[in-house]
Amino acid sequence: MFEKALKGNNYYWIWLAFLGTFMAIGALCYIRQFNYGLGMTGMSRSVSWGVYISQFTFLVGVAAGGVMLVLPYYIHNYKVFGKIT
Amino acid sequence: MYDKGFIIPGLFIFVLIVTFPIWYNRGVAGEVPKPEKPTVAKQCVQPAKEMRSNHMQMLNQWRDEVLRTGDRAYFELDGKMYQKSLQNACMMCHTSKKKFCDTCHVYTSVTPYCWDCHLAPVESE
Amino acid sequence: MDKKRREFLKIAGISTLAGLGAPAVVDRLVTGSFPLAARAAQEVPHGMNAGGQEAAADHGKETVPTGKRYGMVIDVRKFIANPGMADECTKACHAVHNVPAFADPKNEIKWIWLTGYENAFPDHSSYYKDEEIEQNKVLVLCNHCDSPPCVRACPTKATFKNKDGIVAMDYHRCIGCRFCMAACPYGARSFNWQDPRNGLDLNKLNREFPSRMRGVVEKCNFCADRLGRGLQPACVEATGASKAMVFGDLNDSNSEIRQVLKEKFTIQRKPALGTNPSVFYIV
Repeated sequence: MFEKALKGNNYYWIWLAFLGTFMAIGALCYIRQFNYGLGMTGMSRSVSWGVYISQFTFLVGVAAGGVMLVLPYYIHNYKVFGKIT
Repeated sequence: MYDKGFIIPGLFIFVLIVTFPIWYNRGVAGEVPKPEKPTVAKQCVQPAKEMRSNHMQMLNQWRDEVLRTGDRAYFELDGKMYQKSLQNACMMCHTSKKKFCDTCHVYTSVTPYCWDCHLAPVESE
Repeated sequence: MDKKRREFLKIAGISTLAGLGAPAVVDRLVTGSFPLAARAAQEVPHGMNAGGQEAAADHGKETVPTGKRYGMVIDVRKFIANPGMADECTKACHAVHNVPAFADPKNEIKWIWLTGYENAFPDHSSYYKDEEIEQNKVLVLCNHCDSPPCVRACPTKATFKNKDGIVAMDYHRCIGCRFCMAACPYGARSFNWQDPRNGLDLNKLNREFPSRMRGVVEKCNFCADRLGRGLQPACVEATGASKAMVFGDLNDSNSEIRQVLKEKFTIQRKPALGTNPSVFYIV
């Protein structure tokens, strides 16, 4: 099944490399934060939860909503939802 | 088996890597650690044999008693009064973390998180 | 839906209600008291009521609190009269407990500090203040509330009310979620955003007290470690003979602090929030 992801033209690989650099930057930043501490994020006593926790709660809702939209088409084969998935 | 040419050598290498600790040091147990005994006092809270097996539980017990129950009563040892404290009791006699705690802990590769917070006694070089 | 499914749902709903309500109904009928409520009150985290007050067992009766409840009275006028004293208190506290000092105010850790009148007492009007209050700051610290919101918020009970009424921190159990910081209405809690030893002078540490590690929340502990050795809190000791801070047992009607509270008019920080703080101010 993995073969499908390994087949593609040049544009495909360039796009993957582009996204991969963001992933690598994220990983590097995480390693730096792991070694130094959360102080690197610029959070303080007034902003103790910051983007991390506030957006966590918000994006969880967004993800749940996304699942609800995709579910009828793929799991229940309700083809009408094909327009939004 | 699909892709047999890759899977069987791969499995073999994986097993080799995962059991590395078992076959690499075979026959050699390393040097027995020799923690330095304190010169200041003769007796510890419990006999050495029990301390060796129980000091982790005893420290946890002290921690819960002092912090959560608030029982900061002193106990007597060899005529002196001590608090139930890692810094203020144990390290008063075992004055070097490197020569006492680390000898066994490095050998067994057990790193407790005591010293992240608790201040180790100043090492006299 | 077909009749059989409808019957089933009806029976299921009614039996659920009956099952949930039956123990309560039976208890009330048989014993005539409210034992479920009493049991629930006892399961409340140990020490939620200062000094072991059995609220539900004596339903409606006022009980005398037992056990200690430490509190403090801070006389702001005496601090205004002695300008450098508040800084001495802060320095003493931070020195005894190895509290780090950082240049960046975002990383600041403080157990006791000075703040303006408006921040200390936002419930009180600061309209047309007199000069003294306008120019001088108030010494504030953790209030060790009787009904602490931080203790209720903590998911691991790393912060808890101990038997002496002190809201204590167990740094071994703290996971650093900073929920208590969000819950505290007084901003008394500080998080270790980086290794605190970066902000400490390693030659000037108090070797009898540990520091904390990166990733835990810390705050004033009413010097519980010093109280255990029979000493007064470090800040109280730094005020010397001026009696600008009085520390004692609020549940002991003969203690010095109760005398001061009887004689002088005191205010508290944000009393309308219902946290029942243990720190009183004479302004």
